[in-house]
Amino acid sequence: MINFRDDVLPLKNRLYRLALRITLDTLDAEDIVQETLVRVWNMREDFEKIDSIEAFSLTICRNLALDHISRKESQNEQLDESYDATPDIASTPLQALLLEDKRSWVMKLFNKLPEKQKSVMQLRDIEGKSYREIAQVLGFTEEQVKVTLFRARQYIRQEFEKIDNYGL
Amino acid sequence: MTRCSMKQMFCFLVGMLLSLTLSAEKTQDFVAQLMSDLEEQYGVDNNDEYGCVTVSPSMMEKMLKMLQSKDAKNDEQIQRILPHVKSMRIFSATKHIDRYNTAATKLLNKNAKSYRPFKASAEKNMDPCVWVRRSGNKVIEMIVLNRKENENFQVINITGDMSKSFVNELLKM
Amino acid sequence: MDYKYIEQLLERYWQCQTSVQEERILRDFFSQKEVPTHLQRYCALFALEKDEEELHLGADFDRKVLSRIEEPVVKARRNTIHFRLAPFYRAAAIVAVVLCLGLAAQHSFQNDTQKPGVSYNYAGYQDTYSDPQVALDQVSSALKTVSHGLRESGLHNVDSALVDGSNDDKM
Repeated sequence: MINFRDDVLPLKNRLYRLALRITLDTLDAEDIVQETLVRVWNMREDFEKIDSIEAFSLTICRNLALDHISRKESQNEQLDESYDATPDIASTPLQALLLEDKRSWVMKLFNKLPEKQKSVMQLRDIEGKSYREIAQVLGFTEEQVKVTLFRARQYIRQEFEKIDNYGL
Repeated sequence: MTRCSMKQMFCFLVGMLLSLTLSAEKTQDFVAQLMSDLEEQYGVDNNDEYGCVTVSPSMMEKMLKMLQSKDAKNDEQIQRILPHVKSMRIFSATKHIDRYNTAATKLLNKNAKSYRPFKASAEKNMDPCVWVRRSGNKVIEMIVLNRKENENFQVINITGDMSKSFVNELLKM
Repeated sequence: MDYKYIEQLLERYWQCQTSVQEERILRDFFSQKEVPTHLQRYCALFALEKDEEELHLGADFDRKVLSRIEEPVVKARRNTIHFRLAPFYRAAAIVAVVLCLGLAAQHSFQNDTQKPGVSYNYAGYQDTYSDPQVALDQVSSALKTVSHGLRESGLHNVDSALVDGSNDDKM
């Protein structure tokens, strides 16, 4: 028998991380997760027809997050394929490294990615999902997932190589 | 209606009691208990001072299958040993070694009903470093404490079906 | 030490040709304390997963969402039945508690060898390594340490040990 506490609630942290990655706001992300869980629970009659409750929940979560930011017209997020041009406090990677912890520099880099690349990388590098699962969540083909991930990783690689060029 | 519910209640209670008497205990191995004690005592922030490697029964099976499919002569000995090993946990501490050594020894002594030193000879007056847990006539758990001066302290914890032939094979390693 | 394997994996990672397991190997490698200088800058990238573990929703969130999920129970009717059966439940509960205490006392006075059968909670075991080869290396090394430990305690052959006095293979 399906039980909310055992079958749906445990997804909360994965959903939270994805919502946070997209909205970059903890309170918004929390609200989105709550809404997602309630909606998923209300559709429990149809659980048998769903291949993966997790993928289904992640899809709803992502869609709610995207709706939220397009409503908010947030400056932090751009829905098109361009990289976030919001200037950092540090204008060069070198300065960023000198000013901040390396780990938060990588996190900032991650957050700069366009939404699709961010979501794919979140689901792969952090949640460890397979290409098939990611395709299911995002409504892409597996090939599209791979291409999107490739772009994300290449961007990050280029940024790492810039550090190299500064002789660090 | 009252009679029905009473009957159900009574059956439930009887069932519960029966299951209590008949069920085998689900217990934790030594290192799992040690980690839990350490977290309670010192908090989870000390995770950079110690670590634990866990190899589950399903991983043991995968390892054995892998060895069997490779058919390597060098691995014959380990192929004889592995079937006796159900799981393994390796606890290692690289800082505050005394603290963890003491914690492990204390926990072993606290659970004297479960863990006994595996003494080879009563005459040797050394701190035992091999401890075992028996169930019936079988040794089901073995704990080895290994300390390298002030560099490193390890607890190797094996569960399984450890017979004389298993130990003799181990001694040849 | 030859880091060629890691460097190859890293190149394949950038090309998105690595499997989930291979990415795990990279993560494990970069989370070690000793990473060679020329690779150190990637530690932050492969630490993302671990850093993200800190992001979680706690009990407060659970309460909020559960209050939205749980439907109000029709209490009035249940209360009536419960109220009527209260004395029987009480009596049965007392009997159950007394019996349980007795059993618990019996259990605690037995030592392990008398108890029905100790079984371990293997379902809770989370493997550190997903690659059987890596796990095997760890296990072999540990077994050698165990072997050394047994010899240090003066054991050279099990038959010479003080055992429970049986002639069969059991110890």
